[in-house]
Amino acid sequence: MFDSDFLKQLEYLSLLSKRMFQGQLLAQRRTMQTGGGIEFSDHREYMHGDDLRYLDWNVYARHGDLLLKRFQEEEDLHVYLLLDVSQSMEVDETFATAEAADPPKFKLARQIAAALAYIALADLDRVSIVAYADGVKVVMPLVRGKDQILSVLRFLEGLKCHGERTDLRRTVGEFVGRAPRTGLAIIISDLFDQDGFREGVDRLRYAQFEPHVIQIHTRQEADPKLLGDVQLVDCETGTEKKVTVTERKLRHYKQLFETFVQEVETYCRTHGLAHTRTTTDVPFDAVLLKMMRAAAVG
Amino acid sequence: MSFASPDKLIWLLAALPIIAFYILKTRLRRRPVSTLLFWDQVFEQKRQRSLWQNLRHWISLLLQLAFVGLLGFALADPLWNSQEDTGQDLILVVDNSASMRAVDPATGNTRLQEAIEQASDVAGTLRSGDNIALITAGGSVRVVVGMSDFAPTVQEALLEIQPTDGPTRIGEAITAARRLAADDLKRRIVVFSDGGVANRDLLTDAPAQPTPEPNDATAAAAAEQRRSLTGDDVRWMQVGTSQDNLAITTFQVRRSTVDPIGYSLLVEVHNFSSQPAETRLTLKLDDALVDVIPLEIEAEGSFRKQIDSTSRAGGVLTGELKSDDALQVDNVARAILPNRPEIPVKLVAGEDSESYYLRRVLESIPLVKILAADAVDSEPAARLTVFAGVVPETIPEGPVLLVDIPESGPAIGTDGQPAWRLGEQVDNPIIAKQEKQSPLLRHVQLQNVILAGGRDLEVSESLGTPTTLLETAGGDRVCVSIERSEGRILLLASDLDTSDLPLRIAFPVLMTNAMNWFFRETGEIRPALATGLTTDVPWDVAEDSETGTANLIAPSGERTLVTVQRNKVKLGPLPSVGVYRLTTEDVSETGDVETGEGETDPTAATDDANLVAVNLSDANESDLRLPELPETTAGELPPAGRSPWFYLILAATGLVITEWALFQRRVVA
Repeated sequence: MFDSDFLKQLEYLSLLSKRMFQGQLLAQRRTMQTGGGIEFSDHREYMHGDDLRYLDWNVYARHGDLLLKRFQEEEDLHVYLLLDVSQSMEVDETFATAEAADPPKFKLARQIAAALAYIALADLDRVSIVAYADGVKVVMPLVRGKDQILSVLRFLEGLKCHGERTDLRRTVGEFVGRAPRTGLAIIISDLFDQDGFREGVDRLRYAQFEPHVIQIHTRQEADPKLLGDVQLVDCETGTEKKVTVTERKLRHYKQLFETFVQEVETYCRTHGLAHTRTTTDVPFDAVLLKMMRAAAVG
Repeated sequence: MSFASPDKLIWLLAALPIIAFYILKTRLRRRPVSTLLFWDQVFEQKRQRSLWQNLRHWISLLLQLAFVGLLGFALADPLWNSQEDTGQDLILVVDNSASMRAVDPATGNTRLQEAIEQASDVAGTLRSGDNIALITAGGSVRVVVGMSDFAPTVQEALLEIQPTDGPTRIGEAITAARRLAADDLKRRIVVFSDGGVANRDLLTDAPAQPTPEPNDATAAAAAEQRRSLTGDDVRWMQVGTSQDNLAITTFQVRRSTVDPIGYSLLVEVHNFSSQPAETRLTLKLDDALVDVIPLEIEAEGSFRKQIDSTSRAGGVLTGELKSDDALQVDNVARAILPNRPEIPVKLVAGEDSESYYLRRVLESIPLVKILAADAVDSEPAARLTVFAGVVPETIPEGPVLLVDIPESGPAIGTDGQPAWRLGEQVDNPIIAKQEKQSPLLRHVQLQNVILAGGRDLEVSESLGTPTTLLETAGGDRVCVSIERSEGRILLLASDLDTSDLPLRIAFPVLMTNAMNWFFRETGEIRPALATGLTTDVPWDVAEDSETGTANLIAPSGERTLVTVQRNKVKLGPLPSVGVYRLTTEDVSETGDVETGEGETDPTAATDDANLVAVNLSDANESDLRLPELPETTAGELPPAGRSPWFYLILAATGLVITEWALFQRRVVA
């Protein structure tokens, strides 16, 4: 899955991201914290115990006030990739034989995760990958440096889809407890969470993470080619449902799916979250470019 | 109910795979999906209908099994109880008479085409064990296809049926059909016609009395006719629509009896419509325009008129109506006007005979031209030689008239016998006996007339076949006609100069008859014939007793062999209108259609004596309004017309539609 061509594409995307954002991305971002940076931020009253090296002697010489110089602290960003490895990410729903099979969501999700990890590592950020389904399944600890990309790729290649359901809320609960510090939390998932995805994302926001949602679904899920008497099987829960699918039911299904997608977009827009939706027939680099353009505009 | 082909019931086994497929189908296709979140919302309101969902699958199965069952029974060809023992003898009677040429303005098809189409459909219902036959009833009854159990033969023959110009012969055709299929129980006669039969009231009116009185001959005849047209075994399939029509129903011409070059035309045009009509009748003699008569004919009325005109030349007299009605064949009628050629006569008078009266009478006959005594060769040769008061040394060839015969005839034959022996002078030779059958004495009455100078004539049989025309009370034959191969001879032993015969009106009539007799002009009307009729037409081509054959060339060029006997030719029934020509040439080629130019046109012959005009002249055929057939004449079709398998197929089709609707409801709705 991650061959040399893929790595070349990653390099290209990395260069492209630097040119587009010019230091606004990841590790080159300023944090809201003041501290040991080199760029002046503001002054404050000198207090006992402060380091005299940061006293502004010029102000003291002119006005006799003891003011301490404060600097904008620059820090390396922690990027957490929350990758959905539930069964729904790998199910093949192509019913109509005449139609070309959609690529599985899991492959695209891992490619996107690899690309984001590469870009982050190239910018000297720290990257951690959390594979989850009904809970946190596998975690790749924080790594830093571009030379760690191979270990990232190996980790991603080794992932398998499993789990009986998707539970983002529980996953976030476990993740927040484990994460050493806050950072950018990128959720790569189809968001088919039986209990809803909102609560999980809300907990991320409450924990001071910056959630970014990448929603992946297949064309078949948005527009199923399915008619007649069928037995639907939920690939995660194994629940079966005998139904007779008619054209009217299909129209109803599409309407519900579209409503779901719009709800996700509305939720993210309401809370200022970045949201990217894609189908599996779109190449991963195109998805990354779409994200970059959205970020640049925003 | 039984089955004609019970072995076909094996097709019912087709139900087995249907059941198998149904069982397989009940194992629904398993479709893994990423999530049931949305499907649960889609179907959450429909859970209570799961019972119907299961039930309708059962209904589908039952429908499919019923479909297979119906098809299987249809293939087995079930029989009604009335059909179990006997197959049917189906006789199709197709009317191809002239009225069936009428074109329906709505469809552009003729009634015959519609009839053939319907007949073909009926022929398609033939079942195994049935027989079928085809009879046409236009002009003459013709059994096109005899009893056969192979319907395609009849269907092919139907396509070959050509329209005729003849009258409808439905009654005869039904009679023929009944003879063809003798079994009353099996016989089914289906008549495809517009109902334009003679006495069509018999079809429209219900019988007043089922059993007519024995002494009521008219009612009995009507009942018999009605029985011939209708019956339990006859079903009428009426074709066409009622239409108005103008037709020439009578068109006859004859030479005038008083004017040798005059002629009288009798024409009748009938308006078969409830609306008055205007048209124009154009009369032509060959290609020369004779007259144009504007006509205004009231509804159901007719125009009838005798038109007198003169023309020495004969030919084909044609009357044509300017009308674009549905039937064109009755808008044109033809008649043959005999030619009147000039007759050169050579009059040889004796030295002591003035022959004044004879000359004057001959000169008074139109067309007769008496040649000068010193006639030279350049003048037309005499067609008739008249000897008055003199007997030639040898009797010339051609027609010869001898009047006032002074002596016996010249010697003829090997034994030198005189041609005739002249008897002694007779006192008061009163005519007592007259040959009434001879054309020479038509309109001539000489009985009890004293024929001065009359003497007995004993004609030698070696001269020819003598016929005594006038005979005195003493048995003296004073006037004798002789049939001779070289030409006819008329002997009249009477002194015209002393007799009062020339002063009688009978004498010029006798001479006129003699002219016609010499040149075989019968003087009778040569009527235009009607199609479909069989009649004897006078045709003076040979000796009376001779029997021979001739060719009748139809307007289409087709030749038909006809018999000529006693100067009459038996014609008919003639299928098409037009001008036919009789000829004795190329009799051996009878039956072949001439393709050479000039032979295809029967009127190309210069002599009009052998032409015969044939017209429709049938009011029944020209009346294109359809009679309303009562139920009695629209009897039931045989049950096989709607065999049980038809209804089974119908029901199966209904099931297919129902199952299709169920499927649509299940999948598309």
